[in-house]
Amino acid sequence: MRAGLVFALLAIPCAGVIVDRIAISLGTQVITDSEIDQRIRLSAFENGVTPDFSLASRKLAASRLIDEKLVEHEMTIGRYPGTPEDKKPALLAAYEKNRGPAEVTRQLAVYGLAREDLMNDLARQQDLLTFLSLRFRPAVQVSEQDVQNYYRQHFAESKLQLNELRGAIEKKITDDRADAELDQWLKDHRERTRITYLEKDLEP
Amino acid sequence: MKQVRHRHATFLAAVSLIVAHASGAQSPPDPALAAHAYQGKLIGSISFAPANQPLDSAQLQSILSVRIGRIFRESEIRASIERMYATGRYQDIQVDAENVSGGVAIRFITKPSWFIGHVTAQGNFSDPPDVGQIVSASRLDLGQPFDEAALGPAEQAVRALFVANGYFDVSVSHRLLYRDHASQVDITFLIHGGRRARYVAPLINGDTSVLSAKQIVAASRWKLFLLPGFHDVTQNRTRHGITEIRLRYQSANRLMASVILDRMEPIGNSRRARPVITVDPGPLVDIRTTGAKVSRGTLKSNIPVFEEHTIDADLLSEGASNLRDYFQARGYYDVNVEYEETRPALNHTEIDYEIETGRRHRFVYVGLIGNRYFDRRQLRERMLLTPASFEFRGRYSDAYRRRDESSIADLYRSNGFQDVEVTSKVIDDYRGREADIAAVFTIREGPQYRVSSLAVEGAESLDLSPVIAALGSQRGQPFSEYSVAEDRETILAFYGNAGYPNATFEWNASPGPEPHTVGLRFIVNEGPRQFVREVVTSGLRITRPGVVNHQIELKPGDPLSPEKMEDTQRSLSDLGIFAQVDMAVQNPDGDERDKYVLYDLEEASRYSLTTGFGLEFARIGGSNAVTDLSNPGGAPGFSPNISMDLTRLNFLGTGQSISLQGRLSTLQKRVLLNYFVPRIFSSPKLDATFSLLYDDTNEVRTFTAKRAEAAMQIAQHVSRPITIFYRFTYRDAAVSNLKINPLLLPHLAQSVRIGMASFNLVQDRRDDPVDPHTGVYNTLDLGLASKIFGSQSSFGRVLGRNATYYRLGSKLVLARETQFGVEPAFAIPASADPTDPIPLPERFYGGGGNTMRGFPENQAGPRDPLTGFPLGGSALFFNNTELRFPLYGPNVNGVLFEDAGNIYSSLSNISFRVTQHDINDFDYMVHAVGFGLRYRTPVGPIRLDLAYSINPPRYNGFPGNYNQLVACSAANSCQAEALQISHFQFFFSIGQAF
Repeated sequence: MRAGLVFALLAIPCAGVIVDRIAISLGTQVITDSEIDQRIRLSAFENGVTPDFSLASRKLAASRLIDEKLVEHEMTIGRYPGTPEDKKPALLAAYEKNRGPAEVTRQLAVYGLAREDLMNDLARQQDLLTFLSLRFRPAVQVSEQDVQNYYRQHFAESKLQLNELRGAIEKKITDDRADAELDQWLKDHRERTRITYLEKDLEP
Repeated sequence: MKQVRHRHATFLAAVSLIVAHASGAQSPPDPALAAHAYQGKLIGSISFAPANQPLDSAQLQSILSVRIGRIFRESEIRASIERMYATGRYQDIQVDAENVSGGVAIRFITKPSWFIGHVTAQGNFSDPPDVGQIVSASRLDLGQPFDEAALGPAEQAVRALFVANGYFDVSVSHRLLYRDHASQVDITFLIHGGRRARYVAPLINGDTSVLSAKQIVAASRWKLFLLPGFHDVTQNRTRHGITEIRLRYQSANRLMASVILDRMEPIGNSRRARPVITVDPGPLVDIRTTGAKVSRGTLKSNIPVFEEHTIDADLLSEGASNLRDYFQARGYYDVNVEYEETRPALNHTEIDYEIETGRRHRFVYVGLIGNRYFDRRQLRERMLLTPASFEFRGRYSDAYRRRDESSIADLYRSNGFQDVEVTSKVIDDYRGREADIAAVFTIREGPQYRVSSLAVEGAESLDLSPVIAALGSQRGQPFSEYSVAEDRETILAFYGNAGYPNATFEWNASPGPEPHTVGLRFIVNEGPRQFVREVVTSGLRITRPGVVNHQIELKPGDPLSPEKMEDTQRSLSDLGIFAQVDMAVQNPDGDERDKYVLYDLEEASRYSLTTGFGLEFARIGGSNAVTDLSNPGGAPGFSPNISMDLTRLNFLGTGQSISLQGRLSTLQKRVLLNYFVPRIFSSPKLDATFSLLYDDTNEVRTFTAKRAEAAMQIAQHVSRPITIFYRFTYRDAAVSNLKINPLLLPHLAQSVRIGMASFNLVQDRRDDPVDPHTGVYNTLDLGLASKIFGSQSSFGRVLGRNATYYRLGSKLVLARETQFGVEPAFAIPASADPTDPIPLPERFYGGGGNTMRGFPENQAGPRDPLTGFPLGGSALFFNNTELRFPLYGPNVNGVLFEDAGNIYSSLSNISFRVTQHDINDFDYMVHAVGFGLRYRTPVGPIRLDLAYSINPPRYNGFPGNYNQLVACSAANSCQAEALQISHFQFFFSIGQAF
């Protein structure tokens, strides 16, 4: 009886507006509407374009956030080192080096973002690179054949010799393969994780 | 009081929300835009809808990032949602905001999570499957988050389980019961099983040239034995049948046969089911040995091809290696085993193991050189190599030698000798004796590394000093990774039991200040602490909650201790009234501090009926008629018996039980009514039993005793091996059909009431009470019958028993037992015989399969001078010694024994003398030796003992009947007949002698 009364109360029209809600849950983690919104704004800021809040854009942002959450969870349980709090300002400072803090702050405000939002995003990107380099890069093997094939494929007509480009080619192949491993890992983990779309529109 | 929610409330809520939406309360499409409107404003109030939240206000306060009086920040709203959700207590969370005077009013609108509670099944079906199997198939685990989407697959799995067990018409639905308290959902599967199908002859696809359809059906055992028709379908029977068919192919040398059950086809009205199987015999595979004879059983156990149903080089090599070890263990240390695989025909494979055994050796000596830290005994304890002794040629193989090298090295390393090296060599013709071999192990110990310092970091909340003091890696102690691993377990167990389930342990070592020393650093990450929110029980229908609550050791607010949770689970199981006790922490993955601890109980069937049939075969016969005085020393006879035990468990839901036991044989009629009260006075260590007994027995051939007895006993479980019984008994014992000197009848024929208080201590440290191999078993029984307790006869009783069991080598057991007892009488009434005041049924009787095998049952001790029947005594002494050894296979054992002792007329007459002074002297020690066979069964060994009594007593019997005895006694003209207890005794029963 009491439960019914409570639900009836919920039905009473009120002036309150929903300011945030869970859009997607995955395990014990959630992605809220505000987080999707922020992701869109940050991407737009970093690319210097107008934020697109269309459904397609929100879906894309949600998908990226799912990947980030999976990595974040794995880093926590696997005890991978993340960016310490006291190191985050240095990341922001490096980013602001060219334009200056005031200009960056002004531009952030245009996108409805705070400096803290950008700082946290930079730390997140660094963490992803850390995860990639610790988890997947060590297992990548690049053979001499791989390097030669790559050179022939992309630089056959170039004036630069193989040995001049070897380091860069090895790094590129390693990065590509590590990325591919990460993609596969993300695919596997998506299948294994219970992902619930409370906001049905975001379902793929 | 529990609140029960029903599903229609959810529908009501949904309707309400739809109405609200239609009435004009509209949310903006982008909550983030709405949130911007409040950014920077002061938060005026925080509320929750519903008001009754799964977390209490203190927990919510600690979780939320927002606070009244702080600035509204979108990031803090988001962080609050994330943290609330991470507790696992919510399915959905929304936050709305409203401008009010003084700031922004924030409201968290939540939908709680539900968790799986009691899962059971009801309906018309019979075992199998049982309720436990149904619950297991559903994969709905106690305490896990409940998702309605999981019910569909659960029902499918349950349905599949029933179909596999022959219920092809089964329908499965479910009923949910939501309980607001602890947010639990009880799930009941409603089963309409219908009738279980029976098998019909299987449809066999594939090649039936090797085994015909008839042979396959016979192998499956799906057909009834000797009767027309087939068995009921069950999952186990189907699986077993497929396995048996495969084994049948194996015995036809088709080791790679494939037998697959494609499906079970219901036929007609689903009362019949046809297994559809596909068989492929595979190639004929002959595995043979040349050079040495190896039994089929030995081949099967050594060559993994038989088990793996495939042939490859690895398996064949492993077989060769196993055969090598097999022969080496039998003294053929030079054995060489090679194999060859050939294909004489397309579908025919031959595998020949060529065995060159070489000379047979004796393994005579194990040498150890270089050991200083450990002595020989300490190292030998851990070694498999065993030199020859009288029973065998010694145990040696290369595999054992390598394992012993590893064992010795591991022992040294675990004691700080990180650089130890252990090598070994074999010496043939040891000490010049042909065919004797020895193995010599050389140990280079190297330096012993010790711990120079131990630092334990990270222990911020708990005082680790008592734990640190007990660690193996203390300063000065030998350093080893094994010790560190043990210390890790110790520390994590300490944290686990203090409510830190996520504590982690890391360690590192660095060179110490001195050579061969190591500085250790243990780093503990405590993680968050968890506490008991509440202990919730479910599944009780009849049992009173108080019975369960008394066993629960955890209280709200206690640290979440797995050890205490398990102790409670054990206590509940020990009540004996639950078929199953499931335990779980609700919401185990949720990030909340206080957890519900769940116990889901399945009450056992209240009634249990056990019936038994037995047979005793020994010298227990003869002199059955009332006036028959023949065979006072017993005659071969057998006594069949039937027994019944009806128990009502959990009487009136109190955890107490009533049982009625009956036993009926040619020698005894017995009825016992017991009322058992566990945990009396709320103590887990005290149980009480009240009993009423009626017993009519002729086990002592001298008389028939009728006994009516009431007793009360309290059992105190002092520790696992030690139990004390405090007992008060009041009984009325009457004897009749006395076969004694008629002149003694007035004294001995009277019924007597005995009130006795007794104390019994039992210490049981045997490894196996049914068939012990090591340990000790001691009992001490002290009793006092006195007028104070209403007894008509006053006497004490002291009876002690000490049994010890020793392993000799790997196969022999030396068992011994000594019993001593005395019954001093006091305050003897004038009507009693002062030389023998204790009533006949209360005296000690002995002799037989469990006391002294030189005597038939209850035939030891003093005897009536006229009739020769045993009269019992007031002292006893027995000593038994047995050597137990394997005889044939794992189940047949042999026993050599020597028993000594007797029942004595009094304490002062106990004697170790082995000769009888005269025909009326029975106070001497009788000895018997013998041999026994034991056949191991699940209920204990079946026993046959054959004993030879070296010095059995002679005694006078009476050659006539009782009437003649009465007549000649009056005239003092009775003729005696000289008799003697037979030298040969035999006993057939279940269980060891002691």
